[in-house]
Amino acid sequence: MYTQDFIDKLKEALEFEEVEITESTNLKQIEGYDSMSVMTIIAFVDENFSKKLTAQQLASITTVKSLKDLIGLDSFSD
Amino acid sequence: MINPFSLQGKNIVITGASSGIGRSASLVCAGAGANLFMIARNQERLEEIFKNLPPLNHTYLSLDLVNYDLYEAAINNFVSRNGKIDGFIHAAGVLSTVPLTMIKPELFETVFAINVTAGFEMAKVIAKKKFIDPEKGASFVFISSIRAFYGLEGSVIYSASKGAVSSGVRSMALELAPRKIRVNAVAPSIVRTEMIDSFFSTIPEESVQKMAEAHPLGFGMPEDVANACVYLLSDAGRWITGTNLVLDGGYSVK
Repeated sequence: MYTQDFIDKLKEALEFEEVEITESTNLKQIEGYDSMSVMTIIAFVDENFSKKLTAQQLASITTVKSLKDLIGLDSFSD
Repeated sequence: MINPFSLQGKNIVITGASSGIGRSASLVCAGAGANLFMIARNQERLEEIFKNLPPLNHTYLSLDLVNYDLYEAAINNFVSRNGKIDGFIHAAGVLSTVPLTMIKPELFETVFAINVTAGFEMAKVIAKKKFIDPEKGASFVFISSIRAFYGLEGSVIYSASKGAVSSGVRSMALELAPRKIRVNAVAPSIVRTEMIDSFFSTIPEESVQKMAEAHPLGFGMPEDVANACVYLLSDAGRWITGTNLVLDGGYSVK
C-alpha cells in the first residue's frame, strides 16, 4: 500500500477526515483520539495488512510514521 | 448415599472441547463420571486431553463446526457405541473485538456460525428421539456470556451472538420440555482462557486493570464455569430449564 492511500484510509476509519494528517502527525495529539481509536486501528491493521497488533504495541506509537514502522515497512510500496 | 451432582454413566457431548472452558468442562465432567464425546477442530489438543481423562468410555472427533451436515453422522456413531445421550455442552465459541465502525457483514456470519448456529444445530440433532432416552431425558447447556446482558466497547457482534444464545435457550426449553430435555445457559463474565488473553491484548493495560477491579471476586477460572455445567447436567438440576445462570464474581451486582 502507498503511504498516501494508507493515510486516507486511516483518516476514514478513524473519522478524522477534517484533520490534516501527514507521516509526521502525532496521532495521539489529535482531538478525539481515544481508546476506541486504538481498537479501530487494531481492526484497521488486521483488515488491511492481516497483522494483529496489541494495545500495548499501539501504546508505543506516536506519529503515522511510527505506526508504519510497527506494521512493517515491507507492507508499503513507497 | 447417591450424590445428586454425579454424572456417573452419563453420555455427554461437548463442543469446543480442546481449549478454554470446553477443555475444563471435559476434565470436570469426566471426573464426575461422564463418558464424553469431545468435538473440536484441533486433533492434537483433543488427543492430549483424551490422554488425561479417567479411563471411561470417551471418544473424540476433530471437526470444524461449520460443517453442520456432518453432525448427525457423528452423533449417530457415538450413540451406537455408547448408548443414548444424557447431556450436551456447547462450549465452542469465538470472540471478536471490533468497533462498530469497522464491522463488516461477513464478521457477523463468522461469529454467529460458531457461537449460535453450531450450538443450536447440534442441539437439534441430539434432541432427536432416536438419540435420547424418553424416560431419562437430557440436559443441554450453552456457554453464553455476561455480554448477553451487559455491554462493553468493541463487543457489539460478540454481545449480539451471546444474546441470541441466551434468549434462544428460553424458547428451546419450551419446545424440548415435552421430551424431558432441559435447556439452560451459563453466562460467565471474564474467565482466564487463551481467548481472553488474546482479547486483553487488544485493550490497554489500564482497561484490564479496571475490569479486574469491577469483579469483586476477581476473574473466573475455567473450572468455575465447568462446575456450574456439571450442576445443570446432573440430576441436581432436574427442575431447572430455560435459565441463564450468571457466573461473574459479583461483576453485575454493582
